[in-house]
Amino acid sequence: MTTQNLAGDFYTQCFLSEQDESGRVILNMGPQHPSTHGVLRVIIEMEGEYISRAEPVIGYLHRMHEKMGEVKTYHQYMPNMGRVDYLHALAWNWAYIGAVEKLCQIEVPRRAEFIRVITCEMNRICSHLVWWGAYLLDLGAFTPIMYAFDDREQALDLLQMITGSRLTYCYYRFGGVRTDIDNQFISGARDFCKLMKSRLPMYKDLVTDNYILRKRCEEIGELPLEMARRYGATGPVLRGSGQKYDVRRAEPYSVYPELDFDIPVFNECDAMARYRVRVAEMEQSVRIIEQALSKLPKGDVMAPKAPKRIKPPKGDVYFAVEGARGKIGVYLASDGSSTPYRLKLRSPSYSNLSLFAELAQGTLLADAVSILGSLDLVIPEIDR
Amino acid sequence: MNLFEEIREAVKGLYSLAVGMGVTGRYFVKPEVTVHYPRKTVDNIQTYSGHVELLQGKKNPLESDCIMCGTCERNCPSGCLTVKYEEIVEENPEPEKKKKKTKKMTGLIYDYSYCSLCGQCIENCPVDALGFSNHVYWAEFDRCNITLDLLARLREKLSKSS
Amino acid sequence: MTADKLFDGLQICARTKCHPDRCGCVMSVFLDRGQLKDAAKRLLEKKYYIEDVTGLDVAEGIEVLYHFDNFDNPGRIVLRVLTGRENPEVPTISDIFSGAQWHERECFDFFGVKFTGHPQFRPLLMPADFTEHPLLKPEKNRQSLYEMLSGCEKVSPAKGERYCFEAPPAPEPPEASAPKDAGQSQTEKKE
Repeated sequence: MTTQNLAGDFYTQCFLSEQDESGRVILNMGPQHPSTHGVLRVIIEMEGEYISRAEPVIGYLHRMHEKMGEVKTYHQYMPNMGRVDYLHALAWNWAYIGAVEKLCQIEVPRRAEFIRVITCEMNRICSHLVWWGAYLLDLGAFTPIMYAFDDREQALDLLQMITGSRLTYCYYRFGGVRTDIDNQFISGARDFCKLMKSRLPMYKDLVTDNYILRKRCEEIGELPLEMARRYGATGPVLRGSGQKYDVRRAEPYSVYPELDFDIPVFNECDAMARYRVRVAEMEQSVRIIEQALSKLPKGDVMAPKAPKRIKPPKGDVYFAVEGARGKIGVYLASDGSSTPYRLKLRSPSYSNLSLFAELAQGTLLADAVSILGSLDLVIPEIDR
Repeated sequence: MNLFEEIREAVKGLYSLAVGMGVTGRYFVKPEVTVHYPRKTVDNIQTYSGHVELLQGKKNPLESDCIMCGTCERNCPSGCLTVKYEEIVEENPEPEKKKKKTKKMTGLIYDYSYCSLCGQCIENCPVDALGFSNHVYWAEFDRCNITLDLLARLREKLSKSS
Repeated sequence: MTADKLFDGLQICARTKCHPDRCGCVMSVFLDRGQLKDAAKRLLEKKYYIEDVTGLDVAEGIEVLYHFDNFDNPGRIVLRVLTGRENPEVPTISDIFSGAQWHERECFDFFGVKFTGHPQFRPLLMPADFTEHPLLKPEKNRQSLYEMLSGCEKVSPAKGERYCFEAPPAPEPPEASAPKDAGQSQTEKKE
């Protein structure tokens, strides 16, 4: 066989050695493929126009955040969390801060909790908007991303007002948040909610009802619930398979139990179902922001007793939050010193991508792009 | 699929296309939202934190309030701040007592290329001598040029304003 | 609670209830390597899903942790398998929970734990020619595993292939170290 002589790096070699039928075309998609959103590489074995085997190769963006956690102090590790997932950075902030707060039993003031909810949900909308634009870009529609970025800019301006940055936030603190929100932010957030409410129906007309999009998404990448469970898929990927599961409801944290919102679920299991879940989630996030703004209590934004130096007691803790892509988990083991003993980051995209190999089997190559996009991958989060 | 259904599908598709084009058409006549960057600049980044800088002293408006304790240095996740000072030993007029030592700040070196703008240095500063500069448009071609001496920068600013 | 009867009829070393508001899990199950697969099969039957597989380098060896949760009755369960430092080996559960494949490969990258029977056992996040395992700790930094279980109630004395929970060195007679009391006394100690 000639391909073996030509042949590629370690992963290609491994992939080739597992080939049971020779003569099939091996295709490398990525790591510089525009539809892989970064540096994901997928090795694909083609049988005609159909995929017979696929293997994602990751690690090109690996930064060993978990080792960094072991050498930095609890405070110093905070900015790392904004870099794990650049689209929903505040959820990662929250997962880490929440884990430490749980371990040290730090009480957070109610006003800070509401601010966290507002900012985190706003960030979730930003994340879904980027996904929405980029996914449609993958499918060949250029216009939506311009609309999405226009809306996202409004939210980013607001978040920048209080956090000081536009993408890699480091805003939450042990026992509260860094800065209080002012009236300018509150009225801005109300305007943003109004804007989103007028834009979402427009998105529906422009894209969701579009016949071409539906043909690219419907009945593509069907993910049965049983398979989602085996792989540990969470977030919109799971909810698109008909399972009503959201960490905000299942393991309630912060003030989410006081807020009224639905968990959007679609039973079709295909890429379109995952698309609909995310669009519906944006609507719910707008609802949450509006409620939280009207319920916002007065008071401190930092716990007065929050320790300046964090030295948790010996023990371990697992804390999970709902990110835009699914369940974000932080496992933290402490030996009583000022640095974590072990810090494990459970990223939702990691589990969601691992099912791609099975999901892509037997689909058209063009559909694989649609499936990859519908999983909403953020490569820095997968590689960590 | 029979002919009737095929026609129906085509009509449905065309209708959805028309609805989408309608949206695009409406926005086509609205004013543009994008900005041609180097020719025009946006004004929505005034609140961006920008790099860290030494603030004008509250007690002594001609100097910084920095007491050279090194808290910012220790708390920085990436080690981008270095406090530089020299110790001045003065002879005490009373010979029994210890020599009088004073520290004199000679610089605060700040490597912006490693800074993640987390604000740990600012929050932990005991005398609130540090702050964000809100300085957005700072870019360099060479990594070496992105290091600042914050003290020199402050002095320059103060001398300009006075 | 259903989690209590989850492992009835299975061979396990020990299990202990945890305080979910302190450590986020409802139950820790300590297993020997041979008992892992049956426990995982039981969890799949009961519709649990896998969250992650991770390692912990402790003084007693390398502990592999499996976090599971349930969609309908949330409550995190941890399976803990202790393996030796020389030639660490654990059977794979990727044939039961397919999602474990990548987590196990990651665990090999970081800790060097070999998962026997894994279909595609090769580095995932680390470069292929990288032989170090970055999360292994130098000997002086290792902590005892048993001291880091403060979020759980005390494990009654149990001994497995590697696990060895001794009775707590409390001055009281053994009755006092019944699970509930032990948990409380530990809380007091901490505060």
